[in-house]
Parts: sequence; C-alpha cells; structure tokens
Amino acid sequence: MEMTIGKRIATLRKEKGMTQEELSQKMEVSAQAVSKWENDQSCPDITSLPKLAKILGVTVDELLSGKEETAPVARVLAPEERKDIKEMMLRFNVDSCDGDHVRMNIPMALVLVALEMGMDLSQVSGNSALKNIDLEQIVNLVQYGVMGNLMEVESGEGDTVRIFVE
Amino acid sequence: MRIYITEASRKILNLRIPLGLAINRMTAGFIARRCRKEGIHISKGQLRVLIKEVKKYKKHHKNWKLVEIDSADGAHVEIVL
Repeated sequence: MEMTIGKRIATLRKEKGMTQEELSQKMEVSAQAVSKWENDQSCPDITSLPKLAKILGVTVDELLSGKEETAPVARVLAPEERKDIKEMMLRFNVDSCDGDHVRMNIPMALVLVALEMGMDLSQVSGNSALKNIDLEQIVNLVQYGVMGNLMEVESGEGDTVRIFVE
Repeated sequence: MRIYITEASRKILNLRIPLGLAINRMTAGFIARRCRKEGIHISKGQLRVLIKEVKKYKKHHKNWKLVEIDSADGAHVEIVL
C-alpha cells in the first residue's frame, strides 16, 4: 500500500492519541490545514516539518520517507533512565526471503503474563523462526536496563528476524 | 479493534469490531479449541488471562497496532486494537 505523507501524519497522530484539533493547536495552524495535510490536498510548510516531526515523535526523514530508522544498537540505561517494564513494547520484525514483511508489537506487560503461564513465542506467533527464543532471557535483559536492538537472526532460508525493545 | 486489508492499493476490507465482542470469555473457548486443532496448546484459562491483560493494556494505549503485514505481492494487513 502506498503511504503518502498525509496518511503518515494521520497514522502518527492517531498513534499519539491526538485529535486534528489538538495537533493544529500544537502546530499553531487551523484544524482545516491539518485535515488538508492528512487528505493529501496540501503539504505542511517545509519550515514547520521539524516541529511536526517532533510532535509526532519521529524524525523529519521518517515523516517524509516513511522508513523507520533502524533501531539503535542495544544499550544499557542507568536505573534512573529506565521506564516501567510494563510500559515497554517488544517489537518483532520478520523479513522473509520472499519479500514479505511482518511487524508485531507486543507489550512487555503481555510478555510477562505469557511467561508466567509458560507460553513460548512460537505458540503465540506460529512462526518457527521464533521457536527457540528465550522469553525469560529477554525479560531479564530488559529488567537490567537493556534497550534497543536485542537480537538479529538470519535463518538458513534467508529470513531475517529482528527483536528490539522500546 | 480494526482489521484493515488492502490488496495492491485496492481497499478490500476495513472492519471495525468492538474488542469486547471479538475477544471475551465465550470466544476464548472457541479460540482455545481452534488453537488445539492447529497444534497450539493454550488452555481456555490461559486465554482468559491473556484477554484480560490485552483489554487492560488497550484501555491505556489507544490505537495499539498489534500486527502489520506487507506481502511481496502488495497486500497489506493491519490489526489495530
């Protein structure tokens, strides 16, 4: 599906739980202007793009190209920088050799529950590439403050699985 | 809950279902039975716990995109809870 800048603005705004009115107030433009951006009838002014990107929580490049920046390499956060584990998101990106892309976003709160119940990832996803991934180790890493790109696996068939925490 | 399917830029389906209608104690039984047939061993009780957690999470995180799939032939599937 072709993702236009307007659709990206609308998607990112909704992900942030904002209304067009709220976004227009933050951008100091009219609600009609935001509506026009989202319907691809007009584009935001180039000078306002950094502000818009900041409000929507992406970079200007991501806003324009729609390409997500690669997850940062794993880093360890200081205790005071760490968020509540239940507020974090475990992301799985599976890129198959056939050209299919699957993105899964699983809240850590659910991962913790699944772990308590003794479930493994392959049960949830049905993907054999995730079969031997140790959920407990992932949770342990996150509890020690590790964030970002936790794992990147390339299967013999050419599928790539990337797991990161945000 | 929103299920959005397009195929090569053509909108096929944009289905909005109340989450409580799609996943609840009753549907947990159906899902558990279906999972067993597929060789996935999740009990009804486990599913109920998961459903409760999904609903709890959803309450605080609107428009949570659970899955997004882009196939090589141009199809796009999104499940937003």
